[in-house]
Amino acid sequence: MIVTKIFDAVVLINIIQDLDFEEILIDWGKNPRYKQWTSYEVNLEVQKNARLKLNKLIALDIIKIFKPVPSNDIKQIQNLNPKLSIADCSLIYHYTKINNAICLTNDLHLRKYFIKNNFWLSGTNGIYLKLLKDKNIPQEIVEEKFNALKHDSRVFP
Amino acid sequence: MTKYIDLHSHLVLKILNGLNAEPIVGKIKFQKIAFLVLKNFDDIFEFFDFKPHKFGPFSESLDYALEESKSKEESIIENETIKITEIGKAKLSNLDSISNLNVKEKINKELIEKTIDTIKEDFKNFTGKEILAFIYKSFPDYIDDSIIADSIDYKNIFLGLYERGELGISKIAELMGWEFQKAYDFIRKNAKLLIL
Repeated sequence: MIVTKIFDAVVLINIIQDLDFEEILIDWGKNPRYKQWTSYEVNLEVQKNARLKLNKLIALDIIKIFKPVPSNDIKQIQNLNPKLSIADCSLIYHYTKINNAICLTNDLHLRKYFIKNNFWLSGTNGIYLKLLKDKNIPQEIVEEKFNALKHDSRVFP
Repeated sequence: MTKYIDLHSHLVLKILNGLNAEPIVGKIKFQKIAFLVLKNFDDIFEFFDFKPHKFGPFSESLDYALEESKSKEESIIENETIKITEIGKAKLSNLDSISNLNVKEKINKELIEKTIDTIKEDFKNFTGKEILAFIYKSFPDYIDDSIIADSIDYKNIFLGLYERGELGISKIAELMGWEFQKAYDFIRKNAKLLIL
């Protein structure tokens, strides 16, 4: 898979999850129960796996990164939110710049930020995902995946 | 009273009144919250002249303004907890109302108030030592002259903050200068409670 319009690492993770989230997120066979699926431990594995996969895709030059967030913009966001990491701030930057984006996150700090700043935030547990309605991602695929998620009460309690 | 003292007194009262007048425990924490707030406002920051001190960035003029507010009963310090008093609130209200602000200054004032609320809330559950560890790692220029920077167990402090949901793994990696994997392994090995 080649994704051409990619911004930075954090958004990348989410784009990968958008496209392959069944594969990256959770092995449903291994974690069939609600309790497991929503546990912090499983989520931590998910986050790690997504990052490792991302690193590999970058190393293999399958995904190219361009248009990183300007450092001044990162600094501005981080000064106001010093507890957020640069990666978190990158996500926030892109999230505010991109239209029609839906963010599903169970990251505590990002959730706090989004809630405080009146961003549209869906989902409260079990999944760390951002769907980007980018022209490089066919709209119908995004809609199909999002609708599938919406029908799953584990994502939308 | 000079303009600068007004600015300092005004800020002291604003910080104490921020986040529904949530008290601040300890002068160290008060100074650090002021520092983090003012880092967002370069034009004002320079007036406070924060310097590396025994316990991190410290503004003598801000400390003076805090003491002055205490002596005027605009604030009280009980068991290290610093609070604004009703007199302080009235003074702040008065200062805010007499300010003849242009549009830019008005926006700036609102931004300062919002930043104070944000920073106070973000660090509400941090102890003085925890906020100090956070600042030393975030602003290493202020380590000079510290008498405790070398003795702080940063890893354990950040681990504790992680377990209380105060810091995420990527932030800990950033503060410690670690790769994400290292931070992940550290948390995985040592945390009693895993939080994303």
